[in-house]
Amino acid sequence: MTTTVSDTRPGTFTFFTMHWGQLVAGLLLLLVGIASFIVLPGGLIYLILPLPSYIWVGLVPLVVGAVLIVRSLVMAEQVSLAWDGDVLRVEARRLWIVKASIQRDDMRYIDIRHLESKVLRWLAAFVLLLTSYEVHFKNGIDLLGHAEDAPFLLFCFAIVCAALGIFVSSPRCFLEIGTDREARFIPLPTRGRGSREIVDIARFLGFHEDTISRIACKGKMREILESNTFPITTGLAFVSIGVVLVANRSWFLGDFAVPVFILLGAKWLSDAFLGDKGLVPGGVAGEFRDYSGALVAKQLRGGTLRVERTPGITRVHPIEMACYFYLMAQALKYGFRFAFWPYLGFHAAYFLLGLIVLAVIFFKWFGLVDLHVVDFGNFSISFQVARGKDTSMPPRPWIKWYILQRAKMVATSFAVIKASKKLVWAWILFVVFMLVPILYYGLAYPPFIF
Amino acid sequence: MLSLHARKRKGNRLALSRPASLVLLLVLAFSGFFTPYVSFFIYAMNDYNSISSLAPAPDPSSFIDVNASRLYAMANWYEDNIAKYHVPHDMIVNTWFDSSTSVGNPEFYGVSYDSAEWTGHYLMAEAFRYAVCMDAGNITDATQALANITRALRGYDKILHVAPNGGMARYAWPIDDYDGPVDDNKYLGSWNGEYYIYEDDTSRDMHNGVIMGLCFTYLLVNDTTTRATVARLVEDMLDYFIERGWLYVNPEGDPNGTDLDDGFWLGGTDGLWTLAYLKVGELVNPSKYGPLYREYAIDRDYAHHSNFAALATMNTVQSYFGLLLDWELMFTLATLEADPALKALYLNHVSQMYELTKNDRTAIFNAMWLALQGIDRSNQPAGMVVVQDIEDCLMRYYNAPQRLPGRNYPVTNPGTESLKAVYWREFFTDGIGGTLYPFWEFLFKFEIVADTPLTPDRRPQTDFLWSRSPFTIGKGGTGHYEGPGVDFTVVYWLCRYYGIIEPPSDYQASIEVHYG
Repeated sequence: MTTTVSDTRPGTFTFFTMHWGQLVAGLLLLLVGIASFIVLPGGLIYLILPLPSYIWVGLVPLVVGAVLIVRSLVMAEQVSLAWDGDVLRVEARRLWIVKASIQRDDMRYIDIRHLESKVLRWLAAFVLLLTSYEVHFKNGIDLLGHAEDAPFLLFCFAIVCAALGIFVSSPRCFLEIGTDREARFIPLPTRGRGSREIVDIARFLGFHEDTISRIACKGKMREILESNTFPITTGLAFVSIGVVLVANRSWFLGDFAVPVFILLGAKWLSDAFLGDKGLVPGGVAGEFRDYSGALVAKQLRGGTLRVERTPGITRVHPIEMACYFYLMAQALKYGFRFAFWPYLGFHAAYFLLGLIVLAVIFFKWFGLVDLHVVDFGNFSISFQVARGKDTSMPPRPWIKWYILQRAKMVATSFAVIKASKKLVWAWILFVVFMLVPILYYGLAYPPFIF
Repeated sequence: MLSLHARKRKGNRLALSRPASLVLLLVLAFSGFFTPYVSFFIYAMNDYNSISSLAPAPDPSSFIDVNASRLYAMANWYEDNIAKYHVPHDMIVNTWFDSSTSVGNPEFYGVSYDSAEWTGHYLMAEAFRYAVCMDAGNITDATQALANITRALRGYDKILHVAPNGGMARYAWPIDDYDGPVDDNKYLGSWNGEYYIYEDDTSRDMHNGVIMGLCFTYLLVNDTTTRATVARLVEDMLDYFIERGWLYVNPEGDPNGTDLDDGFWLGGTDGLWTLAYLKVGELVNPSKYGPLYREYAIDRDYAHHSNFAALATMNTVQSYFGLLLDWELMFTLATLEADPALKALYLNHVSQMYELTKNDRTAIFNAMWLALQGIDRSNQPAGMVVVQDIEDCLMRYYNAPQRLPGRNYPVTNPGTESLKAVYWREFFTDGIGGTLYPFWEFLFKFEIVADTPLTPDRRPQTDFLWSRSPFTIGKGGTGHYEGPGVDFTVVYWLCRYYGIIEPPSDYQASIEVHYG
């Protein structure tokens, strides 16, 4: 990512912004798409439908790549922010010029954050990973030494993985300015840790020095790791499970287990490292109250703050929800296969893995998250606030403490279930998600046939 | 997202941005059109296929009384005729004769494209014949069956080893015998020091037929040399596929689309198919393939990986050959499986397949189903007429020249057209369907077919009857082209082996075969 930042006029802040990550990912996918059409033979596999494989591994990356390239090019722009008295004037130059003016008095909040969790983004990533794994990787490995195209297939898989890595780890950074009537979104240069551009923009917009110093702080990684232990650990674990399933096909947890484990793990890591949380109250600059965290910074004016606790499931992404359902079904099917198909017997490793997957999902589902809700009268905004870690504790006692803390959270969720509709729905949904596969596997192959 | 774009507040929420609204509107509009558009075509296919699902059960009063001696005589006639005219290069083919009014002389051979599959059925038929004859102490016929088996195995040895990369050819001609065009799919290969032109692009169909034939040969022919040959051929085929992740690679080093590994649930190859191959491997070499079969069946869960049999309804009126592929492997797998739980699982799948075609007058499916259920003529439950259905089908070969001798005389069945098929055909050819779905023929052909399954005496000549739709009304022909008749012998000997058809009372009975 390169950006050009310049202060050409007093009171004016100008920067060039382009989503380089999206452009690079798009170019890589386009390369795979075009190469697949040229090189790939007509028939490799029967996938979800008996369509020629190049439809899946050629057309899908081609379309996604083209969309990313067009988006990144169209959205490349030069943005100027200028304070004209109490009015913030914004001018964006790309193919056309767009101007906007916002009165300081109208501003309820200013938010610097990633817009990360788009459904289409993760859906596209899932389809790309699934098809590339099935067609490029599996066939490439199987045919290595036997077919001319095998190295090409593996090369394509590597390129798609690289593109996906860039794609999911480079969300766009935005400046959001909220008024009573609307919210305006201004693309920013994508942020590195303590990036000078973001610090400058925050300073220009009048963030409190405490907040700015937190944004600029080079020790953010430690804060991210400490305040996101659960998602980072489980994210890494899930990616690892996916890789193990890739490496050893004798381990099988369902047709879609590999992309689901890897994508869900990547999503949790992405949320932890790039997501919109980790906020702690910062300083107060004039009439604004600041919040800042490892990744985000908010500046709020007025409003009534209340703190809410809500089950983690209420904050999940639709793609995540679908992954949970799938993994719960697979964990039940294979972990408890001895119950559905007695002749298969008890398999300790599958059973343990099934239990772990269910436990992780359970904790993620019912683990209570702290929300700060700021009510501005006409509207309200909410954001998640991370809990810190007691860093003085050595690792082993900390793990014990951590598990206890999680268990307590779930117990708390039971205790307050009557008072929270969200919790009631969370429990209903969880039970339904558990029951559906149990009934399906229990009834689809009824005992009388054995 | 547009630069500086603003999203208005709607109560406590942000309204959709203009581009997002546009995308949503497009998605809704597309879904609103596309969903009924696709649904209607699916409805049309389902309605068309209901010709099969609504077909009435056969009327037992219309069955021809079985004449076991005549069936035996017919089987022997086919055996002699096949050996004489239909195995020119140790593989089953159709044969073109210079006369349509008498036997005549063979001029050339055809249908090499599916030869490997029909040779598999021939091999299975001869294996059952060998077992039946050995049980009856008929050493002469058993020896003849063994000679036929040896010949067919030689053909398989050739197509399994003629290609330099170890892939199985569809067919192979000695280079001096080949006078056809050398197109994209023909290659030069060698076997046993001789050069051959071989046909490639070998499909799952061919491999299924071959593995089934090899399986029953090994199972039923207690001959050391034969079993050693079968074991070698099975191992060569399996090792080729296992090394390549069950993908077939053509001589130019490209996968051709033949994938024998488990695919996804709603498409592709059944995991059960892969298991059938490994199970035959376990039969011929338990220590090598037994653990592998177990790993695939249990650890990789292939035992539960099969398409819903109901999906095969799309094959019950057209593309009937797809059903035969399933039966070939499921009959093999379920026959070999000794584990009661796994066998029950496989039989459950077979029963679902059987339900789709039980009224189709497809004798081979009925015979395989009876064999797997352990039902024969002595213990057939009261009210069940499957045994009689099979006998009737075979009896109807007699006096039907497109069946016996099997020449391509014209067959028409006026007045049998299904009104439903005519309606949909016209809808797509002359009606609005052709405009709405210009690609309809690519997806589904909506052929004009009969309204009920036709018995073999009313069906047109073909290479292997049970691979073709019983709803096909007819076709023209000159009477020169002759099918091998393996469709008769495979059902007959299978049924004799399992006690479904009784032995003849007169082993010397004769039959008349009419040409023209």
